[in-house]
Amino acid sequence: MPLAVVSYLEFVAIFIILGWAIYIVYRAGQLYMAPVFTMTVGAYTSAYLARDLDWPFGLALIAAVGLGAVFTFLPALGLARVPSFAAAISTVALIFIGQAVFRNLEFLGGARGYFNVPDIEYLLPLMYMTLVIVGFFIYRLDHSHLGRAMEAVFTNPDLAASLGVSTYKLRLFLHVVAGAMGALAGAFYAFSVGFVHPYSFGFSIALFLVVFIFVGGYATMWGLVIFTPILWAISVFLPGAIAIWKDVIYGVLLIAILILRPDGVIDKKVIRAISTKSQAWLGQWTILNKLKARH
Amino acid sequence: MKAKSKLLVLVTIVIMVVASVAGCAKAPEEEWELTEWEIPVIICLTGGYASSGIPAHWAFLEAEKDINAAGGIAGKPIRLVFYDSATDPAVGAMVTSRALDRNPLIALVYDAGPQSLTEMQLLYDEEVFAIMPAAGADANLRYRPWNTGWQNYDEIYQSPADLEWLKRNPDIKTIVPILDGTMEYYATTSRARYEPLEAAGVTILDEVSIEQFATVDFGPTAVAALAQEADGYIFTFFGYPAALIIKEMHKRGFAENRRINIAFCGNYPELYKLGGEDIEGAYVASVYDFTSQDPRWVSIKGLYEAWTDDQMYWGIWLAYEMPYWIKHAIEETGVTGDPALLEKERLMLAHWSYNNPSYPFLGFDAEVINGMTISPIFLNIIENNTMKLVAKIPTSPIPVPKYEPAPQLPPIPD
Repeated sequence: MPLAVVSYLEFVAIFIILGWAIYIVYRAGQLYMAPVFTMTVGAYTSAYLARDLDWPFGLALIAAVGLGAVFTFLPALGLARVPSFAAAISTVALIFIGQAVFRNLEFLGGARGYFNVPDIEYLLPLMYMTLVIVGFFIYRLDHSHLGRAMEAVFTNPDLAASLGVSTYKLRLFLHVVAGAMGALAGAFYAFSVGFVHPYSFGFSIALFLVVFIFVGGYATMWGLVIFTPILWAISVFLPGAIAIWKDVIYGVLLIAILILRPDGVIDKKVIRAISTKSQAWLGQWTILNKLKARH
Repeated sequence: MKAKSKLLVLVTIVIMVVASVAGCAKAPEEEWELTEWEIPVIICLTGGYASSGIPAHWAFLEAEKDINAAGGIAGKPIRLVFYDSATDPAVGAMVTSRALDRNPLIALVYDAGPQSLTEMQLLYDEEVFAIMPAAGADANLRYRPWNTGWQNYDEIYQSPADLEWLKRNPDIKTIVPILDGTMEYYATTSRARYEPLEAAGVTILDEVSIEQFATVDFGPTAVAALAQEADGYIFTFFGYPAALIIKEMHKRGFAENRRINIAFCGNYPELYKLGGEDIEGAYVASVYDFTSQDPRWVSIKGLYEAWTDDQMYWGIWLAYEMPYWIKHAIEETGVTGDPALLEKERLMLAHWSYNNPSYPFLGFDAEVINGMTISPIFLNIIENNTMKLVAKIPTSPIPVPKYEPAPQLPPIPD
């Protein structure tokens, strides 16, 4: 498979995982960018463990995810209580804090970055297996009582509280999960690219994700799945004369979607319509087969 | 949907799949013939580094035009294919992958910062040699033997100019380094200068670090620098912070610009545009001679200054020279471009580039030893808002022990 396709697919998986991390917290009413910060944590942790301490990839990945969760838990104790705007600003600040901290850790390369992260055979299939597992988890979360609680908190936190939903505990849980997912994305990034630098995980990634989530649709997990490959391809596969305008394209798309279709392209209505039509199609097909079998 | 329609859809899908797979069948082998030399150039045409990338892009195109007008490379035209890294590591990784999918013989990387290191990592992993002169000696060293950066070790590279500056200003005994500690190239380049300066009897005082793209007001930088009451100041970052810091220093009573050694940030046009009279008399080191009468240099300098009102600077020299390097490499090694010989010919070009006894750069000849270029350093002084050469200082191929033994390329297969 061409390198460019492998690289493209790897980044699509990374961005979907990262996007889902932001998505699950947004479903509970907070725009939360800390997964980009924990992406840094995950990338450096896994890279260091694999390259300098010779840990196997799987263990390095698990350690990175664990550390990502730990690093989000502490700020989450406070951030889980704050309004969405404050969470957004605070977590963007976390991104810059992360960059500054890692830039000054000389044993991790400092401003020079950390290079020669070991190659992992079958990284791409491993990433997509993980993506499916994470996706299944997100799907189950969405369709569980927690998912309904998230919906309630998003719609009306006071009403949700009156129904017995603890917004604080819910958001605390989601922050930690999102942090872990961010670290997972970071670990995959490190092994995909082979090099890690504090500025690799900055505001530009946060902006990419905002576009992918809000254009694709923030109300379901599927918007990211469908639109991340399309929007990321703009950056990398369009002819140069068009690709240099990608920031304009993203910006215009985002503004247009927020005005014309604020829930994003793939919202719950679209999912329901697809689901209904699929079930109808499947139903007809089943009936047809049964009829044939009888005759 | 009716059953017949569903069947039709299914059959259509199957036909499409079969046709796609059949379409991938290997074409009958045709005789290969080289029509052009396709060389990838990974460069920032958008994003924060575009201010350097866009003029360099102009210079690359001029070189391509000039080479082709003179008969190309071994009789075939050169075609530079530009891949925009957008000053973003993720995009840089992606476009480098695209470039690698074209099976290049060699790559040109005109980029600096995190995305350049991402790109270099991929080229290193795929064992494709790169000419990467803009990312700093530290980056060149870590990705040896699969690149050359046209500069020497930082410890050797800059210190001749620094020592020449001290010789002309013997009253300088204490120095404050002003640098961008957040950027790997500038941080390592600056710090590599300290040991030779200390060996010359100078005391290096506390660093004053800025974040050049984020600092809005350079007043505090000037205050921090001046507060140490040093005899001299060395700068290491892009041109415009140096100009603004010097202006701020002047506002606070500093007057003797001879005490300032701007080093390689003197090679950016913003220094002169913003500095104006405030930078007269400051010293600047450069890796080439601005006053060279080499016809190619005179020509490109004239064209550049006609294209823009900026002064000629280092990046243009680099970008103009890089395709010529490829030309020399291909013609002197006899590489054919035959895809069947790709691995062998990649190594032929790599060996030629990694160790080269004498290459005619614009304005001087230089030797490349294990990827590090042994070239003269030029000390200049700013007069009438431009660089005036005061000394051409040869450097010698003294190995730096901590970088030895230098990694070597695999042998060229038969």
